[in-house]
Amino acid sequence: MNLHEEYWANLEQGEFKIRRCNQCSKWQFPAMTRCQHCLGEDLSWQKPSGRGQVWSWIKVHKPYFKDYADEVPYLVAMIKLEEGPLMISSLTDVKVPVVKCGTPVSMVIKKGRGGKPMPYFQMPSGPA
Amino acid sequence: MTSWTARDKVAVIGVGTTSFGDLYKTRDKFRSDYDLAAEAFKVAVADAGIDRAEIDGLLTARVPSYQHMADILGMRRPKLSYGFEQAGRMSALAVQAAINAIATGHCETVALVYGNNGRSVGAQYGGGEPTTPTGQYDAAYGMTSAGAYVGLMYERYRQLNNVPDDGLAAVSINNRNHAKLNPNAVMHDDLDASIYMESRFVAEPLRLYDYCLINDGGVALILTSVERAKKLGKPVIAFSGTAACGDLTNFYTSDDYYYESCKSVADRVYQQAGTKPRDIDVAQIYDNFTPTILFSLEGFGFCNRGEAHRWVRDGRIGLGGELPVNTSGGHTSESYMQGWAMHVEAVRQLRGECGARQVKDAEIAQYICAAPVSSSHILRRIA
Ligand SMILES: [Zn+2]
Repeated sequence: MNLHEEYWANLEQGEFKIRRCNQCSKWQFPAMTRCQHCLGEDLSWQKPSGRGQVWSWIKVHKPYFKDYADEVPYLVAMIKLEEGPLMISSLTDVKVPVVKCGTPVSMVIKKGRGGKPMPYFQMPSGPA
Repeated sequence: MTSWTARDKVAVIGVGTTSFGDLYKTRDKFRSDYDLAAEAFKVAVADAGIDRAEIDGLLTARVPSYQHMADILGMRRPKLSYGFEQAGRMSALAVQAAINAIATGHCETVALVYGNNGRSVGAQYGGGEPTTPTGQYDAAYGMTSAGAYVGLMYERYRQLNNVPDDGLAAVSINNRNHAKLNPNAVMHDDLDASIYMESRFVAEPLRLYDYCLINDGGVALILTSVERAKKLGKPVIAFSGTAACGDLTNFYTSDDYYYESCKSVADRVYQQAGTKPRDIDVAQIYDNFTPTILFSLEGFGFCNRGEAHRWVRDGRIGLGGELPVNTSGGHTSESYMQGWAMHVEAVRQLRGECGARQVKDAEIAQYICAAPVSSSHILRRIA
């Protein structure tokens, strides 16, 4: 398995893991063979806290992907993980018309298109 | 700071463009990007008024093979020949490569040619096969296209700076107003605030009129030494400064809207040219999506951070304003030629060839691109 396959295989096992350098402790996303900070090659898959913030979000209206044609408009968010890396994901339980940048969110694994388990980020419950 | 030694040593002596408006009207699956580039090249050689045999360097962009391009143009043994990838950020970088080659004596006269048949072959930016490491992850969420990544930046910029809903309308309408004065532009229809606000969202907060116009077309530039340019008896348009800086991460999105990289370019390019933002008579600002105009104006010091959306209002960036921006109509209303046609517009403005859209007495022009590699040139009419 290559690193990308390992990432998805972990999710199949119900675990959201990203790579962390065993030498300098920095996290990375997406998975690479080498640490960007110290260039070390000794990295391992570890579970981040699952906490993060909404860095920003958009609502996609154009059906770029055939698979998503019946879902437009849909939300895409850029999440800043507590550990540092940014990642693209989507939000669940959105009850507000405008998601504030900086809103704290927590990771949940849900099935995406085609039934593949993927990390999503949950909006805080209760009044925003 | 290292000093740049090519100030006012290299000039643009020839520019060429194909039609943009006419090409937009029809799609033709047999229309060749190489042929469009060749057509623009022919126009540029005639514009320069030199013998084609004097050209001893060839740089290509977007067309897949520089070798095939050279063969088509009959350039058998150029001293400089290679191609650049198709990203729009490469236009200024290719021009820098030509400037450096001429200034250091690798060759004397370089042709840069760009050909694009994207509209005819149905080029899509978004929805295709992922090309970056994050691409496959992002696509799983329906995330794709540079526009969506710029949309993420603009949404954050909008929220953090309390920008009203119509924060991009002024730049989009400004492009259109200029396009209406440009016979070769694709779009001549009126665009006002209500038409803008009622247009459909693509990647909200970005609307249809915030997006570039994918089109077919060709652009060519011919550069040579200022020394040689002075013998040709035409206005001499020289590069007084040029610089670039990357902001290279996994994403098109930059978490400071390219501010630090633009600032790095600005510091160097203004110092090289001995100019300040207020000295610029006309600016061509890369706008694959309209937010990049705001990011550029802030990064290059025309206004304070977070204030560009106010600064661009009330005619300041229109003809007769403090800083006319995108006088040809830009990528959203002239044609998306990935920065190349903006280089041509800068030269034509400095030569005074722009007719109804001419900026009066333009002597200093700036090209700016805010992108994963940000870049800028300052061009000046020196003779
Ligand atoms: Zn490390």
